Amino acid sequence: MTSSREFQRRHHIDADPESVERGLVSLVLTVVELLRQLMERQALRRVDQGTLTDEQVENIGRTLMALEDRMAELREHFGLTPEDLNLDLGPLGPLLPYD
Amino acid sequence: MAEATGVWVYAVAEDAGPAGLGELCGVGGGPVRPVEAAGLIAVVEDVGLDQYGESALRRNLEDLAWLEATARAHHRVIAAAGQLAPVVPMGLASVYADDAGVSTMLAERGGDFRQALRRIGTRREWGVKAYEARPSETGAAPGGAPTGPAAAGAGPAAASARPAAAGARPAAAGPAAGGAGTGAAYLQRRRSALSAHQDARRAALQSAREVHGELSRLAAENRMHAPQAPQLTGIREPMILNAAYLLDDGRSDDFAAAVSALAQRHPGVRLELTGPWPPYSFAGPEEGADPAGAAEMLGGRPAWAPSGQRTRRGRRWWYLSTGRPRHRHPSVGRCESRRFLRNGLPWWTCSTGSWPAVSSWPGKSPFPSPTSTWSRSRCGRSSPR
Repeated sequence: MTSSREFQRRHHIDADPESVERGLVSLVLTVVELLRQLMERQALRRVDQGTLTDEQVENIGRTLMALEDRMAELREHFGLTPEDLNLDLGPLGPLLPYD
Repeated sequence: MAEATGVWVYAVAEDAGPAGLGELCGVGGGPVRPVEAAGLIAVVEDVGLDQYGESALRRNLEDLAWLEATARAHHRVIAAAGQLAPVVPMGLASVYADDAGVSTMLAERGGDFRQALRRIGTRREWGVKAYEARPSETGAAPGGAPTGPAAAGAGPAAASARPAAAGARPAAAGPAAGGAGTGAAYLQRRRSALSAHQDARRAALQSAREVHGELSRLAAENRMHAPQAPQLTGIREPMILNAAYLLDDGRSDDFAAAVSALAQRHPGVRLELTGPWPPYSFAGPEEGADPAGAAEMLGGRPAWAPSGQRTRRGRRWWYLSTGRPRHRHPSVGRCESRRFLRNGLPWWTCSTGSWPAVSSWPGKSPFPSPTSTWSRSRCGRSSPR
């Protein structure tokens, strides 16, 4: 089973500039993805509460949709898969839920 | 100059110890030999401390390749010894200074070992892991059926909302020129995707609970372990059950048949049966039932986690526990559930584990007063009784 070796390889510190940049980009995008998912859930909660007008719901929906498109573009631009945009918090599990 | 050597202990057996161990090669590549003391026989090997000393081990245990090779060698020796006579396996990396140290350990813990041997007898351990079965990730889902009635309506919507199928957007949601309601429709899709995900997870956990309940009835004993991270197993699906069952010799066929029957009956989980193993999980003294721990484990999160926080009265420490009494650490807890006695100490159980009721300040009594500081947890709902 090469899974543990892949894991090791992926997490081995590699100091050449390209991979450092790539690692930094995936970290940044992970944080952005986390915020995007949080905002989505919060928006859904607000919509469920019923305190928003229709126009506000519409705006929020459109913004989040645009945000998701943008995230996908950024991901494709840097050649990252959705699974790459995740942090392992050890015993607490992954940062973003497996979706 | 002789290099420092230690003694790596594999397993402990009772009288009539395993003969014919001589041809086995251990973790360090050296021969395996027995050490007798207090009526017990320990299966040991001499290892160099440059690789198996304390600091060296700390370094090496982080190296997965080394760990894999060492664990396999460790297991090989224990399995071979287990064929010859019932043994209590020792955990990985039990290294003692010399044979005298091993003898002292045998004398001190002889009672525990004998009790474990009596309890284990000739039984073997079988492991069952359950993974949440995911519907196919592709948007078109050629072969996969929708996950269930709850997701039937949201199936195509869920598939399109999944990040893996980000490219397969339905044509109706045009980016800029959408009509009134595209935003609201998007939110609807996201909501149904999230709830479908949660429903699927809930159903899978329920299935895992039933599976565990039924298999526990067939086994003499069972232990729950923390679920393993996907990076370790190489399997993307989250693990929702990681349990070990102690089975009598003749019952393994029944058990395997039961596992496959359960797999048929619960399509939401994928079951994996491994065995027979030497009784690694059952080597410790028998613990009392830990229903909160088991429930929390089946909640999908690991059974322990460390953290620290500051309270108004100073630093509150949370500790971790693996659930084995020999570690004797309290676990993380957040809210109150109930208080019970375990190992002679009062323990609290809660939604994330159980912990002994110790207060954080040094010098204070380790047993709780009804107004322990940590009871004022962040969730605001707790109070020890």
